[in-house]
Amino acid sequence: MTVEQTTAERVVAEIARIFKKDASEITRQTRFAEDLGAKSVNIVQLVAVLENNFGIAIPFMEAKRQLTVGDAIDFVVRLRKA
Amino acid sequence: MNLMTRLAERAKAARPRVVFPEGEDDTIIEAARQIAAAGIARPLLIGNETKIVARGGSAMDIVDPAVSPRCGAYAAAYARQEDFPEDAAAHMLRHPVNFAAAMAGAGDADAMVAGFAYGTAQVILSSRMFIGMREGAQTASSFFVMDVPGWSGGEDGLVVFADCAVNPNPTADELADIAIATATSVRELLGWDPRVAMLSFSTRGSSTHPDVDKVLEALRIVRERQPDLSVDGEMQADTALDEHVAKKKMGEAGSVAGRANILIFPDLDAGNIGYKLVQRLARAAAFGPLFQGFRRPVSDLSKGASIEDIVGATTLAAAWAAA
Repeated sequence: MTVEQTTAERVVAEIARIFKKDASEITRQTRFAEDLGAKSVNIVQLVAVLENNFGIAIPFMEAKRQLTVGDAIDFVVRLRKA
Repeated sequence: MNLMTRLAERAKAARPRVVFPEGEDDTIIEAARQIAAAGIARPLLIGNETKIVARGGSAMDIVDPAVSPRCGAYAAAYARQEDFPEDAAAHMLRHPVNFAAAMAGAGDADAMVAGFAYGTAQVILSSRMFIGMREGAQTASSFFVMDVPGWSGGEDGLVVFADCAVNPNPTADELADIAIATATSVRELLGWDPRVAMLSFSTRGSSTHPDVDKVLEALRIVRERQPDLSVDGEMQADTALDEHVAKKKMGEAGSVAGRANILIFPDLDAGNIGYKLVQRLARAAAFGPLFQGFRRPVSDLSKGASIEDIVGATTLAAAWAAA
């Protein structure tokens, strides 16, 4: 699998777990604030699981600026490839 | 006896454990050394032991999240509570402010003093996640104890302002939370009977505006949740503080107007500007901000805090922990 595919799969799985949704409900267009009701605590948790999973450092303030799941996937892909 | 002396004496009688997540910083180490020497609290410095000892911190308790055996227990507790992977919880706890908050949450520290390097938002987030909210509290907020020279109102020149540091535009529910939390804080820390004024630019319907409606709705919620609390509004600040103005604007003023010892500002613009004006123009001392709503006292530091400021912030948190 490509970096993009493994990242997308893991990001979606962790978002589904944190926000207690079925992964099938999460798409690239899913918005963190409007669709998931994301609070700062949720973003901290998401950053922690992805950092731990991928062994990368994810700057929190930049993570907070990702508005959709697609934005978050692309952001993590960039960090993994850096 | 002035306020800080009184609070220091109370802290000394209990010598609570106060955790400092920024424990490797020279200024924090020196402040902690002075706090320990004065017997106000027992400082717990978070950080690398070799670095802290090299900077003069050898006489104090040092806890390094990287090697502490407590990390596993804290991670397991968080994982259970939040249905969250334990290894990711352990990853979060490597950060000193999270670890320090977890110590306080677990009862391994009685209070936390932070914010010298970490931002207020981070300290609040870590406190919310790892100390946890008090039962019934939804909103983290803050308060200052203002000591106004040459004024005999409030409690002999002392008055509490909230929330001047945290919530930019609280909803009516959040404002009610802030009012109730402040009353509780004041009872615990200062031993006062709270007299809470819900501030506005209007007094008893002198103006109509959605902002006034918000304050009135907050007042209704406070009265519903705490029917025995002395709380009133909406009122302007002069009505809250001056009995002559209160009688003129409100007729029979009740237990709060003219005699308030707690001022609840409707938003952060008003609260932050208000406390700074009183500080600068009336040369008032502003003790705090102390965060409230958490299960343990958390004192906020500004990035420009002096050693004296840190000792003061720690005295407040320690006195509250000792209450």
